Amino acid sequence: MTRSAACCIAALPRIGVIMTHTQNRTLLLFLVPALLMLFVFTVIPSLWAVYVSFTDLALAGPKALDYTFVGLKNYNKLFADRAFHNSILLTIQYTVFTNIGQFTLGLIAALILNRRKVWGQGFLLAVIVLPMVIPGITQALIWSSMLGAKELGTLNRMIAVVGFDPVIWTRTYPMLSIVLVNFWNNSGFAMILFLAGLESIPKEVLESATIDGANGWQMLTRIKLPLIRYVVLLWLLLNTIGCLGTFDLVFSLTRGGPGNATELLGIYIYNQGFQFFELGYGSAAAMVMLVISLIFAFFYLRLMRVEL
Amino acid sequence: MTVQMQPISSPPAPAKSASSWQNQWDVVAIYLFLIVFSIFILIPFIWPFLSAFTNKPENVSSLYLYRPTGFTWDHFWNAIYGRGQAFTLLRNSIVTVGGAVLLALLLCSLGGYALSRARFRFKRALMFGILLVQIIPGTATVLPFYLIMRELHLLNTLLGVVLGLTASAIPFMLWVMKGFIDTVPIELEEAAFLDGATQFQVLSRVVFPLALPGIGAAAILTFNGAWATFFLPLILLSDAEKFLMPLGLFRALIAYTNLDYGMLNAMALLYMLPSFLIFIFARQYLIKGTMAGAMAGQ
Repeated sequence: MTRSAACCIAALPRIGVIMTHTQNRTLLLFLVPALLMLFVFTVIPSLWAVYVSFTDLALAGPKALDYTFVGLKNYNKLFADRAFHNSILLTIQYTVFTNIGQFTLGLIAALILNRRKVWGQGFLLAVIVLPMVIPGITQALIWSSMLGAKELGTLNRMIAVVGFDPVIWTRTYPMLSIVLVNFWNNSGFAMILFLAGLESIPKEVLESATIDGANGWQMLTRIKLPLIRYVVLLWLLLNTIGCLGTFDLVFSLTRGGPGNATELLGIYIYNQGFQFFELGYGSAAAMVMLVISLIFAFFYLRLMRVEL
Repeated sequence: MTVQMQPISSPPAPAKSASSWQNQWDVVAIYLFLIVFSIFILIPFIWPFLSAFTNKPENVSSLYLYRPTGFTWDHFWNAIYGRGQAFTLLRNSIVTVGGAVLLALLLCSLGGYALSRARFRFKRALMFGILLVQIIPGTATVLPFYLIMRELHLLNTLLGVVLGLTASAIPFMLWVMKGFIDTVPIELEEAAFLDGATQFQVLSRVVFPLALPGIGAAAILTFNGAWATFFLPLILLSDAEKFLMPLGLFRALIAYTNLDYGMLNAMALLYMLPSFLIFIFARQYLIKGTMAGAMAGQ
């Protein structure tokens, strides 16, 4: 039935054109509810944040109702705030370290799983992907045992095998601790993307490089990496934006501490808003994050446009 | 690694021989990396299972790995019927996340259909706008989001969490749905219209059944993301009886002075059960979805 009708359509192209044209308006109605939700819960908050960041609105107390426009006061305070500088610096550190580590781990794993016939390949792929399905709060829970302070902490037991003394990980090396957990939970993402990139390289390219006598390192730096640079850049942008907004895992693992040694930008904003109740000031900090992520997002979109 | 020169005259070597081992050290290094990496990833999972399913010896902290004295279900009983209140937490989580996934599916299957079939100006701009909303971190907009929720009187309600989770799932899902519906041939629809079907019938009898595998994949991914969401319930909910699982775990983790890690891990395992099931049965969807998310449905 449908097939013969489809033939009729093919024979009478004008009917099809007329139909899609008259349908367009109904179709757009279908899109309205989803866009409305996005508008109310994402777009309006972003725009409102701009306004709030110029006021002294508070979450509670007299300033919650009777707030005033304060101009650039929040921003002046923000850019003079040591704690804010600290959190920007920490966020940059976190982003750089995790990007380097995940790139290395993800690339090595992807290279191995791509071309080699490795025994247990499916198992390894699965293992690397496993932490990605685990919710952030439970990641924090199971890493609280790994990073346990005494000589009984799992990581301390592991380094004791090689002869190191136990370390109070989250106190002595707070940044290293959260970066390590990030390697653990997010390298799979890099690997998946890199693997997809590597698999899309035509076999002939690699073969002709082999024939020309390229060694493994040349193959990687001259052929494979340049050919997957688009995927790598996509991953880098997404991961960087993700690091900027990091909250769940780090907050539940360290709550920004000790002191403010892991108070990343996301946690800083949360603390300003919900610990100190300074919504106006917190929104100014959020604006900084929004602007930085918009810049990265803009590059990401430019990249997508090329490909679409 | 050294690669053997291939004589030009020989036919193109199959990939297998091109990548065959030239050097024993290569093999050793590769397996060493994979073994160490796998251990690094799997080791943290030992403790939650150990402490949830076994009794610990006296005078040993359950925060660390220990030599178990026996198998037990006690921690799970404690978690569900005791002070863990996992039952309430799980029920809240299932209701909220389930509601959000269903709502997102409904909105996005219609919206994705429209994006796939309709032709209008600024469609491309709209698609990119949706993508932009998707990649902006939630932490950047959280404070005014909280204010909006307060204006709508949705603070401390599960409905508020449902709407918030739905809104955060919509951008990704719209893109994925559009991609899947693009693969349903439009001729089938036109044929159905010619046969006198209404728009609703075309959707329910032709388009959605054919896009069902894609819709299922999108649902699984959305569920996984919403199930793990911690930030949204953290800022919206304040009554303990409305807490979702991640919030309950977090509060237990920071509030109890003398932590019963056995019970806490039993709760965590109950909470992670859907994640493990998705990992076992729908891993391929997850991998493909992650790629689709990063490369925006290509």
